[in-house]
Amino acid sequence: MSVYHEQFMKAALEVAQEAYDNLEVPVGCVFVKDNETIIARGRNRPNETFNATRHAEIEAIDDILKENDTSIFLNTDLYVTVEPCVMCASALRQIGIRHVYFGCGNDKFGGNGSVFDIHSDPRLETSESKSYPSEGGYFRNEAILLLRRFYVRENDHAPAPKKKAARILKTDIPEN
Amino acid sequence: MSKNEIIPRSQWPFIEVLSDEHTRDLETVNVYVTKVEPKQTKQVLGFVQKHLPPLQNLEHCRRVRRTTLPDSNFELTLILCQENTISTEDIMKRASDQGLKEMIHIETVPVPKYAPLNRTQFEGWKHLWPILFREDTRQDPKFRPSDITAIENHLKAVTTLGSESAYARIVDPTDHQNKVIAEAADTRSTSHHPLHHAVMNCIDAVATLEKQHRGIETGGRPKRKVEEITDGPAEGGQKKTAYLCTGYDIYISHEPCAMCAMALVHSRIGRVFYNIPTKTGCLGTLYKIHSHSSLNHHYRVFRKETSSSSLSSTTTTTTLSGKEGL
Ligand SMILES: [Zn+2]
Ligand SMILES: [Zn+2]
Repeated sequence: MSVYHEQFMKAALEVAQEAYDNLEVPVGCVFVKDNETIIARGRNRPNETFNATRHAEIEAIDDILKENDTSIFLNTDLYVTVEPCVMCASALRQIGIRHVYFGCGNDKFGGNGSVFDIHSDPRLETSESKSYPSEGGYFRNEAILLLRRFYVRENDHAPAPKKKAARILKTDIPEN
Repeated sequence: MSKNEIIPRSQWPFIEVLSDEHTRDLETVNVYVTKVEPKQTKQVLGFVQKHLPPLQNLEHCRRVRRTTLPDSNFELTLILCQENTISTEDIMKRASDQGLKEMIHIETVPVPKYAPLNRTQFEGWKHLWPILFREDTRQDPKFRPSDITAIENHLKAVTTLGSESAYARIVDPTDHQNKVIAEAADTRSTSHHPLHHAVMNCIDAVATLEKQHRGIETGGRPKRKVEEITDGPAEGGQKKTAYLCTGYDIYISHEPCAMCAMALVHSRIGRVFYNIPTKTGCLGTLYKIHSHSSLNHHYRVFRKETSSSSLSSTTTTTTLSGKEGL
């Protein structure tokens, strides 16, 4: 049975910071086996790889499958700083993840409840695609602040910077 | 047929998978109306505009309906306001305050809730209440005979190549020869990787080509500057590095799953052509990921086969059964 451990979300946030340091949208994740061992870390790498599909989850899944069979996911949970997008939500069904814990929601692309319920849609059920439980809100503020810092920095480097007001880092985060 | 003639939608050998807004059936909302004498119309209209709640989101409905009677006279019916914004008693009270009590006889009728987005909706809905429709074909794809031939050839090719598993091919439609940029098969069973769908493999192949093109060793780490990855949007000239599929078309043997459909959103694909719908497909069957309002990029989708003919029991869906989309 899957049990949430705070230390793993902290580890995912560290990986997200690494994405930030590498000029990528700061999303990070860790895959945890048997509630105790981190078997892979992943961070966004679309810019570095010239491939918009290289999200944190996909990066880590590829690493795991280099050494393991897909059955490893039967006992593996995902901790990710931002709700998986529709693409990753579907990928997680297809690898058979056990449980997903995420930080902040993803209003634009979220596939675990924000835009679509890809993680739980019974119509998507096949022998190779299983619904999985998903919970959000863990270290939500930390995840959001990291994203905001990223976008403020990005706007500062844009050829035509947006109005100053848009670039001020907002640190108040409304509950939702 | 001249070489440059634009083929009308009705003659395309495929159909466009339109958003739910474009395909929805008639939905209605109730409004209060009253019959008016032609010579009193202006007076009643003035009252409505000044003293009743304004119509919201019903700009597509004409305010007055003219009905021709059997004796070739006509009758006018005028929308007062939406039901539930005000009670009928309140309307009548306001009418008497203005001395118009005798002119107003409230009835409730349904009118189309949404503006028609195409001719089919317009023709189907206009009988309920007169509605406005301005046909806008500016955004319509302009397919010429040579485009149709190229599309059909690519579709045929991916379908043949995708008879065993699924197959995808990305092409540059602006290249007059419709150059193939990359193509890939579904390799889930050979690579023992459940995410190696044809579309994902194809996007990977485009990225690999780009790296080679830039002289970056595959797997190596390119040196980038902040300015390079924070370029403006694609319209600004240079493509943002990860949006490699901007302006490209992809041809797929089967309707893609949610993962692949969203991967194409992330990659900023221009248009998708697929041959066969799938049970868990997300470009028409279960979802229309390409046209969802919250997503930041939309692409157009065209389907060769109709759902009914293929979802039933073609050999292809049997071979690929059990897979979530493709
Ligand atoms: Zn993702
Ligand atoms: Zn797929």
